[in-house]
Amino acid sequence: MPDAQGALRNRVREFLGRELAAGGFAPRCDSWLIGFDPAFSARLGAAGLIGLMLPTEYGGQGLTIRDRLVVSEELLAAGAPVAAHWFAERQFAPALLRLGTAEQRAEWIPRITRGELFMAVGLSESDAGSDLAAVRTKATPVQGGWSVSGTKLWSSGAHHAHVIVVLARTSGERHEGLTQLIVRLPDPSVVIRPILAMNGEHHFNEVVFTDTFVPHADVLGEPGRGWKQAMEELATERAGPERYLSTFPLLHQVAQGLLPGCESQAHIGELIAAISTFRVINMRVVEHIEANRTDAIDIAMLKDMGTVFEQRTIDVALDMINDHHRSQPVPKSALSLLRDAQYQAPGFTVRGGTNEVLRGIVSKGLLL
Amino acid sequence: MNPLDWDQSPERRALADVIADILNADAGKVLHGLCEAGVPWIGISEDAGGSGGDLGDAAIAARTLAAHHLQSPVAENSFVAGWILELVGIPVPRSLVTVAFESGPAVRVERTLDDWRLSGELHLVPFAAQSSAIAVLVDFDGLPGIALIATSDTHLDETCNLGGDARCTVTFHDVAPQGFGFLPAGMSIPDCRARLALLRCIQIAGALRSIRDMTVRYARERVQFGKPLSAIQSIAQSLARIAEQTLLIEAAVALALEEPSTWNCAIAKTTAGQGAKDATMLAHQVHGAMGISSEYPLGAMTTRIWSWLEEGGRSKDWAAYLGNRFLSQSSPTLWTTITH
Repeated sequence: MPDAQGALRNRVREFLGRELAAGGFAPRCDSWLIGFDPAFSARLGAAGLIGLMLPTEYGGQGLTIRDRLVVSEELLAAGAPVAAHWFAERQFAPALLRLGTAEQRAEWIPRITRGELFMAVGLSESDAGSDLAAVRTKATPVQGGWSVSGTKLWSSGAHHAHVIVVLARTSGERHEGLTQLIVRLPDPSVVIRPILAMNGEHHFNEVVFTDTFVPHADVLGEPGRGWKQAMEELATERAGPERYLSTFPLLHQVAQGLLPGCESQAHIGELIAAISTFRVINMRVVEHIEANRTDAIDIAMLKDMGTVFEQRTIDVALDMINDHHRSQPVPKSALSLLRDAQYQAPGFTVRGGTNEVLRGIVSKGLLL
Repeated sequence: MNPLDWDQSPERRALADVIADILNADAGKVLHGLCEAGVPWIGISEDAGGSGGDLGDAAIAARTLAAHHLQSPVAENSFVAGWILELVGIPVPRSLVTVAFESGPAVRVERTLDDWRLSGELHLVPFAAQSSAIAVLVDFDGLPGIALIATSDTHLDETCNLGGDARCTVTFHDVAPQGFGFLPAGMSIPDCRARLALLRCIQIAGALRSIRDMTVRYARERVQFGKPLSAIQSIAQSLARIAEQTLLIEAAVALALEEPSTWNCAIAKTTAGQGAKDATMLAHQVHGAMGISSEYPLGAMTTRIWSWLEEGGRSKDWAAYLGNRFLSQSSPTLWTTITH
């Protein structure tokens, strides 16, 4: 694709080059989930590389979502530790622009663009995973706002977050009567417990709310419209290169040093073809979002294909490592990237909507 | 406009409609109508004897022709043979030229005092019996070139590919070509072959889209266990997977149409190979036994897709091409290669 964002791309690469030269970070796979580094986020924000598509009045640069896509893919491909600010920039800021009050935007968005605001997602619960409409966390009206009680699960980075956006039932049943509330953290009525991942790392949390007070001013959007709002947010959450580049730092590392004509060359060609093609789809999805048209079906298709691809790439990487062994030792850093990718892989096709749910969205669209 | 929407402009839709109208005429008049309208020369500049138009126009024409099972090298002429002839500077004939890459052991090229003489055997030449000449990619002392050989100077052994499209084994001995020229500097036979690969991908993508729509329709209408097939989750998931592979191949085609480099054509054919087989098998699975019947159109579409996957270089070969070019750089990095 002709690269209209070439200058911006170079700016990100120069930033990353300086960071790597100064030992500012060690590349990791899945760095948007497991690469938590507030100092890096702050440096990225200071370099003007967070929230490019946000309005200048809130500290953004008034650029396009396409520009953000360029920055995102450069950061992910390099395995940069972007987890701290990732969710806030990716979905909280756009949600505030879509639904937020002037006060909410003014309060949160400048902190997001500086890379200083960390947001956690409060959607899943023990009985509401793929079946999100089954959420039981309740918000009841009280003087001046709402009182929230319930338990959210799998909230990535909640233990570091300044806010968690909670989907809670305020009335009705199923898709009706759900509301999104911004809960400020830490809060004495909110208990955050780690859910350790299978490698023992702490990224996920259980978040327990007991009569947590949320003022009216911290309601996101319209009470009762939470389902639709959350679905829009999920569509933008799903529409990024983090759905096909999670293992890229590993692929990059093991593809280096292989020789022409080696057994892996067709595998490498397949990787190149797949990623190049995903990028075409991703660009159209993003252009359409920019034109206020959300292609929920294309987004679901891209995420389904992209995450299955991510899982498959681990075997490809193993083949390449095998190929390496015949000529040279595999660098230690590659093995640690491989470890990360292997531990993270089962989550690729689950988080942000399982692939079965995604295919359900696609088939519903086809059968309309 | 996004590259993926290359076929959506009013002009392109109108072109597809015009061609479809000609194709829907009496069988005897179709070829004459297409030639009258200049369809075989779309994408070739008027200066070189073509009809003008760009690659996207040639692509929409090729897709429309394929959907109507045209048994003639109209797309090969416009998309591949005419393109190479124009590049080399050989006047593009006003009759149909097909193209041959699949040579046997070797096509022998000899230089005579004032001309060239060729002998050899070509395999799987598309619609050779329906062409007036064959553009043969040859190698002369390491220099890639193209020779235009009159079909009447050859012996044709007619067969057809799995999908039922006419393919010939062509033999010729000591034949003087109608035209001969070397490819422009820096251009290789694989660069030419990439264009045939792209043509086949366009045809595959078009057929897959039809298969997707046909399968969705069937799943909605066919009732088993007291409900439409589409109400069965596993079937609905299969429909989604067919749609995904269709989108993926369309995206790869769009990338190559936007910038038809050998690299991007290789990406398209690599992508098609990974997805099209799965999608056709899933479509048959949804259709149950129905897909196997010759009276139902799915089988013909499936087998044509499989043939197109074999032609113009297989997916694995183009994947190896990509990988090899990547590894041949002095210090290859995967990301800069992908975003070049």
